[in-house]
Amino acid sequence: MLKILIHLIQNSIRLTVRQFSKFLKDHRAVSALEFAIVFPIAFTSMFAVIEVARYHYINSKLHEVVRSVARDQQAVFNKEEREALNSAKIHADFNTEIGDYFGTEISLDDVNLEIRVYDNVSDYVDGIAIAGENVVGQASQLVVYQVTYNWQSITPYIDSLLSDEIKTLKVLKIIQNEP
Amino acid sequence: MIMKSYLEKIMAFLRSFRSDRKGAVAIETAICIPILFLLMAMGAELVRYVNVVDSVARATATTADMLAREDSVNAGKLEKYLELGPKIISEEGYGPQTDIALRSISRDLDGAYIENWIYSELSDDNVACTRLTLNQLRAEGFTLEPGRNAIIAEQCHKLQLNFPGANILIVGQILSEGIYSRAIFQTRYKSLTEDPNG
Repeated sequence: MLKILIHLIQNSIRLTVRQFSKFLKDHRAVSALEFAIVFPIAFTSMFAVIEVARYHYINSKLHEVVRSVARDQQAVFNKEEREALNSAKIHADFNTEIGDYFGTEISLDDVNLEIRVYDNVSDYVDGIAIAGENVVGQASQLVVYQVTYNWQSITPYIDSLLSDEIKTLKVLKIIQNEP
Repeated sequence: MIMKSYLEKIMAFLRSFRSDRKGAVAIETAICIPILFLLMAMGAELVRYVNVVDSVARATATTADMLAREDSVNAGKLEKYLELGPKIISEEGYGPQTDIALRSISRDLDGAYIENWIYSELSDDNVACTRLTLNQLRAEGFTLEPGRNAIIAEQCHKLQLNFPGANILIVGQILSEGIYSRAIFQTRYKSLTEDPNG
């Protein structure tokens, strides 16, 4: 009984080895096989180029949005208007601008606007911001608008290959309020 | 005699190796894939380069703009302004390896340009921008009204490559050069011609 079992196993191993060596010598469909190997790489490269271009495009547009929002706040000359400004209004303006510039291309959930106010350049360099929840900057103060965007690729899985540092786009605009 | 037989064996092996077509596809793939990946890395580095160029230009313009708005300057204040541009670039995630020079220039009533003072900070990272000249007043490219004063900010930033492999390509060498930017703003409220050191 045991002998038969051993014989069966030996035979099946011999058959498998023979079939495998036959497979190795078989040169049919080599082109198809090469194509199957190269296609995913070529396809990924192509989409990587698209993603890289899109990354730069979104970065440039975010700069444009934050510049536009910051410029609107900088040029408020009227004292009452300046004092009436609040963080919620600036965020609402920012969200509207994002909608105007990007449409549905990026989600508002992935974008964050942070406003920091400093008395002067020295304070900014030293990192001494004016504390408070609704500080948006009075006349002649320095206001930093920092936008962070968690980049989402349109190609599945590509963003999982990138580090969080690369995927987090940071856009900064510093202005000094008028007058 | 032994030597000759070895040589013949080696020659025979080389001849058979040359005519052996097995594994040719694998070798081709092994050659092509690193080149393909390098090209992809180069594309990514180029995009990053463009973003850094933008960032350096904006940081330089902001520095010159803010300084030109000051009522007066002193050495302490200028030290902070030297840190402003690199801090902005750093906050955008591109590292602080930046050389910076700030200068005040005027144009006298005869039309000649005068350098009033210059402040500079060179980083330890050997940024070495040939265009950032500390000993030469370069006032070309803009026109300042006679009798007026302006602030020039110059920055040179060394790009850190994300993919060190991209450096072996010629484009990588170009990218590793310093990124230069220059901005000029006419002083807004008061003239800043006095030497901050007294």
